[in-house]
Amino acid sequence: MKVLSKYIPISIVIFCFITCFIFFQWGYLYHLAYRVQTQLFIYSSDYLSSYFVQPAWLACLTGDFLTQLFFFNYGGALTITLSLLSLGLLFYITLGKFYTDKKHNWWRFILMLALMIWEFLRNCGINYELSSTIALIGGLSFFIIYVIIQKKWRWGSLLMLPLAYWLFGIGMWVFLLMALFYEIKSRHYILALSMSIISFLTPAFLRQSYHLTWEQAYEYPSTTFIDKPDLLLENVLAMSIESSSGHWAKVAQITEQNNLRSSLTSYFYNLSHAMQSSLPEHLMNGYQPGTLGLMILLKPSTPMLSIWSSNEVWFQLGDMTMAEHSAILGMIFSPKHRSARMVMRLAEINMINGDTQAALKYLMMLQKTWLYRNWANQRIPGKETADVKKWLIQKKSLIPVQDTLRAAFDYQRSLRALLKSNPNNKMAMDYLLCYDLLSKDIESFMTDYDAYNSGNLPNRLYSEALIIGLIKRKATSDEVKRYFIYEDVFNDFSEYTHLYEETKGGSFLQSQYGKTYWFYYHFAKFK
Amino acid sequence: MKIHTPKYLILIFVTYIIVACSPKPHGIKSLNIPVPIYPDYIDVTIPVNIAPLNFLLRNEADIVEVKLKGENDSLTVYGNPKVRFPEKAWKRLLKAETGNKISVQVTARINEIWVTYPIFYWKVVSDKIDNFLSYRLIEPGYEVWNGLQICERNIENFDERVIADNNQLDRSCMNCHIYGNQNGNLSMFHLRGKNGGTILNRNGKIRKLTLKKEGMISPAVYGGFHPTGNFAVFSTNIIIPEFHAKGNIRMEVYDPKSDVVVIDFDNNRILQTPLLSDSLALETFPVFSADGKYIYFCSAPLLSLPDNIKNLKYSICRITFDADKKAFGTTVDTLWNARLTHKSVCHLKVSPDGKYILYTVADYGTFPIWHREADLQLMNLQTREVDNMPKVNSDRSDTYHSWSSNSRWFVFASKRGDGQYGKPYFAYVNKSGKVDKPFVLPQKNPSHYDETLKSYNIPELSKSKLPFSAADIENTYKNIKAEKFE
Repeated sequence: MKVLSKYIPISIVIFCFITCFIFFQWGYLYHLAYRVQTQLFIYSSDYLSSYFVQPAWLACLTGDFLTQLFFFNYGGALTITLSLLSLGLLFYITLGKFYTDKKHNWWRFILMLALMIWEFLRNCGINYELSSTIALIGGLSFFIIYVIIQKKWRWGSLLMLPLAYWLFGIGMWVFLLMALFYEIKSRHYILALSMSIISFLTPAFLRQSYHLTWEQAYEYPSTTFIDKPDLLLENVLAMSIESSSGHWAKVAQITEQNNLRSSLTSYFYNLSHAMQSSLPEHLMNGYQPGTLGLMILLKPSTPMLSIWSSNEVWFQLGDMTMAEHSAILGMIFSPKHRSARMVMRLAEINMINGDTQAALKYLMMLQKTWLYRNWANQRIPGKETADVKKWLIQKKSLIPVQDTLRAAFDYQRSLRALLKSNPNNKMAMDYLLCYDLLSKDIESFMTDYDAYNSGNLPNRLYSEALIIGLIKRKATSDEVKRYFIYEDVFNDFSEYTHLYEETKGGSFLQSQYGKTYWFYYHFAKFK
Repeated sequence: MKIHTPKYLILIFVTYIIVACSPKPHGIKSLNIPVPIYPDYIDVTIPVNIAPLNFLLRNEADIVEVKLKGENDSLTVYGNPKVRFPEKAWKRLLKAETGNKISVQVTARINEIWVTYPIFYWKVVSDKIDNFLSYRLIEPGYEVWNGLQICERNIENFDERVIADNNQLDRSCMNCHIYGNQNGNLSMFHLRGKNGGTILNRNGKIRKLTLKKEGMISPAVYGGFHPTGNFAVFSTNIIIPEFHAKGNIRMEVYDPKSDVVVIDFDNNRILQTPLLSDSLALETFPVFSADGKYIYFCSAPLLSLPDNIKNLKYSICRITFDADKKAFGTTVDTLWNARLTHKSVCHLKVSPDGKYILYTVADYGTFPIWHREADLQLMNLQTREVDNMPKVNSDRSDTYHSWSSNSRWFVFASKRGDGQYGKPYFAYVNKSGKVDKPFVLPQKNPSHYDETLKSYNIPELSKSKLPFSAADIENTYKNIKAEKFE
């Protein structure tokens, strides 16, 4: 029995350790990749000193430093798992200050597990930072130090509380909670009361010097009380991160396997197929929320992840102005207004634009990092590697040579400007034509098709749309012939029309023609 | 027995150890290329009260020796490759060398070889620059914002404090903070958002104002104080941001409608005249003259926009204003005619002595911060002579300027270098009106501008500290109701 009571807890801890590691490594890896990409840890005194303008500087500095390990395979899962284990063990040790009897060990163990599970769940939040876990560890460490010194210097705890806030922010509450139990148990009620007052006053006094809101002041650096795994979001992050690495087939695979229905997943679905030169072929096979799945409209209410991902389509299309605008917004809406991925993208954009000094600004920042130094070194103007030079030539061929002004949301004008400069930009043409189609703007589709795709054999999607357009134009048979539409498309259209007139929609029409543009044109509704 | 060691002995000992341990240059090779320092502080004119011009060497140097030598004092410092001057010794040196030139000799060890660069000079002038500078720190996104701060920097040292942080203001947009008479006791800025308004500071009394009345096309936007502080002149603009297709031109902002109004702060009234709200003309960027008797503004004929954006060219105009009668003049004069110059002007700033008007000139439009060709020009209001200031301007946008109260200095935001991030530069105007090469606001860490992702937006000089804090602004935003104007 004794042996059992010794090995069961160890086995449970090992089990939790392995489960946690497996979960983060194989089930939640993209969340961790996102966390490392939304920070930019620079090895410079100016950057490091910026930690002092907020409370919990030690927790934040340590947390952000360790978050760099998320960059490496197994690094993120191992770091989080070890952090949770450290937190749990420290909590177990601190509970030993209250429950000295061995018969209470199970209670200590259960409480330890509860804390670890709670912190594990919080770590599942998209914007949760490792600094919060470090803050809790710091708070518990403070309590252990307190217990050691309090016999000689009990009232010193009153000074330790602001210090705990300065170093660990929310860790101060953990320290206070443990110290309160400890002092109340020892019947030091006045000390306990004084500690509570000091703790509540400290954030209030320091709030203005840190320029925080009341809420932030009392929970810094934590952003959430409880969270849960979001595997749907994990898939979206997978699309975003794989797209930034250019793994388009993988992005397409993720979008197709998971049948996700949101503007952002449609955005990646369309982008991944466009990058494989097959957007029109796949457009109607996926969920299409109007035109929202082609471009992301940027405004203050746009979700952070959408803003963060929005530059990708512009960058691939060759519109560097819009890509830069989106990338800057992606950076400033990142949790700490910094994002390594966005800085890398900004460097690339300026390299493509030939703005050497602007590119250098970002590359020099990246040179001061641990993770992106080599990447930056390969792109320093004048010292680019052969691969980078080749990539630059290809990307420069897409950028507009003629200037025009357009609003951020005037996508058609932007795409037409790209095509005017470079009529061979197939991706821009497909995006333009698909945009026309998804907005059911057949007139624009016909005009754009005539302007940019005339003389080519139409694919199935464009053929279907052309038939609608030609009917609307009341085209003559000679005019129709000029578009080289295959006979079987006309036959299908006759059958579709026949079925539509017979059934007025219905499941049979959908099962037969649900993936045609005709069905979309007839039945898709914009909300 | 306790032994007391005087503190200064310890200091002398520590200094001795540091100096003794610094490798001394030997076998020095002279180079005939300009020293690659950043920021570019080569041959600049500096005021006696400026903070140390810390810099770094943009090369492989691992040790740098900098010798500053004037007629009366000298200073030698070492860096690696950042060079930071001790503040007390710096101030002592500048004070001793006021009116003189300080020679700067940079010697560096590169790959174990000591090299020295051609000497350059810092001319120290007794005309002080106003010691406080306010600016908005913002990422260069502009159309959509997130974190914004308005800060006040003491430029005699490196102290900076935040005077408004939109983290505490529902993330609302905050516009440019401007002073009246370059005085910290007279300033204002627009705070947008649901509880927003124009924040007016007069002698530390903070008011929140709704500067819009029926018939105005928008709330107050760009403006400046009357020298009495009782009035301010503002433009009201419909502002449209759009993007250029060519990547390195970036953004364009234009106003399809704009007018000019005068605000009477004491009587909560908005004064208008048809001459400044012509539906066929666009009037913007108004300021009062130094004596308050004129309103200077930019004006352009209305065109169909954005199609004719490249033909949109603003002139400098003025109209009289009688503060006692609260009356506008009946005629508008044109001082600088866009039709003749084929350029467009914006951001007018009259020097406090009334002698000059400083403005930005671009090829077209009204928003030059992304116009590479945007340069500053200085017009002598007495002779109407225009100085293109070649020493001041760069190949990137140079704009958003403000005078020092003695009219001997001005600050402006320049995107020189990276082209993305605005930085405050100071330029000296001597008694005969000649302007010297400008220098960037010095920072404690000379690599600061390399690592910041914020633009220094709308730098404004003031001779005194602002009497309010970020806490006052938060309180005003949350708890004070905006006053109405009619």
